[in-house]
Amino acid sequence: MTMKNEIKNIFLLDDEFPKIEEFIERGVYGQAINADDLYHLALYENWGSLHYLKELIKDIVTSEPYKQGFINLIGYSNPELALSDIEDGITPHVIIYDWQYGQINDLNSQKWLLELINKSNAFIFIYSQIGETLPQYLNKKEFNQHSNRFQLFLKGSKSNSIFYSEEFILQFILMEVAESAKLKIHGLDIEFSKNNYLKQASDILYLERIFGRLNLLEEIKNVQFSLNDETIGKILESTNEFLYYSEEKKVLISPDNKSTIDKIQSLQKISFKQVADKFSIQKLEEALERGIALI
Amino acid sequence: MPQLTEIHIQSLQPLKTPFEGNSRKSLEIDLLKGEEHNDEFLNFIHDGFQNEQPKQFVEITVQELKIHQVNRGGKYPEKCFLWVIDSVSVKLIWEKTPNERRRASRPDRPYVCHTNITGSKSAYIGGEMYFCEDGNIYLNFSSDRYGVAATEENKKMAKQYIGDCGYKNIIRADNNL
Repeated sequence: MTMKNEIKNIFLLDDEFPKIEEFIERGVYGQAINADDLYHLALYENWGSLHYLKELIKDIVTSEPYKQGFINLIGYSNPELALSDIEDGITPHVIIYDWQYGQINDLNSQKWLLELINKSNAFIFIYSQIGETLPQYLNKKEFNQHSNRFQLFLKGSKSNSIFYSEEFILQFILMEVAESAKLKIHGLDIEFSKNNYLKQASDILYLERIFGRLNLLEEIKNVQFSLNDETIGKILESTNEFLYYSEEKKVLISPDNKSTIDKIQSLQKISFKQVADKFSIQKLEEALERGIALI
Repeated sequence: MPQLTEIHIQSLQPLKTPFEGNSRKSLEIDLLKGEEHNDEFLNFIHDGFQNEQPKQFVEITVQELKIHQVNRGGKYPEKCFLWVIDSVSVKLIWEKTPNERRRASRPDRPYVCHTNITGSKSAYIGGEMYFCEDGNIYLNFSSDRYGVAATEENKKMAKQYIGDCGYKNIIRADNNL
């Protein structure tokens, strides 16, 4: 496993970590909670509806990059504690930010989020059980200018994409520190290595849009749950589908775009794999989505 | 001529559900979270029947037009307006209108799509539109929901109807390939 040789701090902000007597006596919840304590809670305590968060902690702590010391996981039960640590020089690279603390106070939640954005360069996953109502707060000018710095996830959601919410967060963290890692997709363990087709694990979403979620899951099983140059090539070869291509016009056209196909002479069929090899997965997806892709 | 007439409808029909005619996608499977609603965007959706500038208006420069080959059907999301002709008229929205609900399923595109105009309802046709500083409007039919499977007759009438709404100097990018 190739590592990037840099330790990344992962801040996990949530006020609903299970509260146990021993930790209360030690004052654990009033300060930064170290990974050992988080893992202890994940292993032995009941997290109720937050069991997805529990699994995420376990997946991070048992990952190879964590074992090799490239991930430093820190929990905070209050954003003020995290902000205080940032001011003291602890730099977060990824923040998993729960929106609610006790009674819902959206003004406070926005204020803290903005402070975290402004006081760090971290990528922030806004992680909430009330995802449906949050966009009204985030679709604002003060957040829009930082929109490449955060992403909203509904806790425990399985409906967004081929990645469940926590699986997406896990792959993001692991890809921050490693060129290859064991990821989870729909609960399955997947060995992912950066490759010529997919520069990062989240690019798997391109494959999902090209093949469809169910088909892609089936194809991943067929390649023994491993995604690398060879297996992605096999997946691309497994379909008989094609695009039309004009060398002269420098354009790829979807077979559905019949009225455009009718206008252009000298089109040739080009397989999905040829498109990905010659151009890119992104161009393949663009042509399928927009009907054409210029190259 | 504000709204669609029978003459327009004859050449635009039928109304299509999102992805109808798209051989690889379906409404049930491929409409992602955050792509289905429009209530959040009603203040940003412009009804083109009065030929006013759409909300959040932005023009593409001639230089950008060349770089991104927008006149040939190329894409430049920063200055792109998505358009859809629904059962009433043409509706437009600036593509970069933020859509945080969509970000989880499309982290590369956390902004609106065509079904955020229609609320996932049926429409005749859709695509992209660029208002250029050269005075031209560059129109294409790039929409996997409402445009990819459009016929030449649909496309001709879409251009005519948008012109009937008062938009001038419309150039079909797909004719420049």
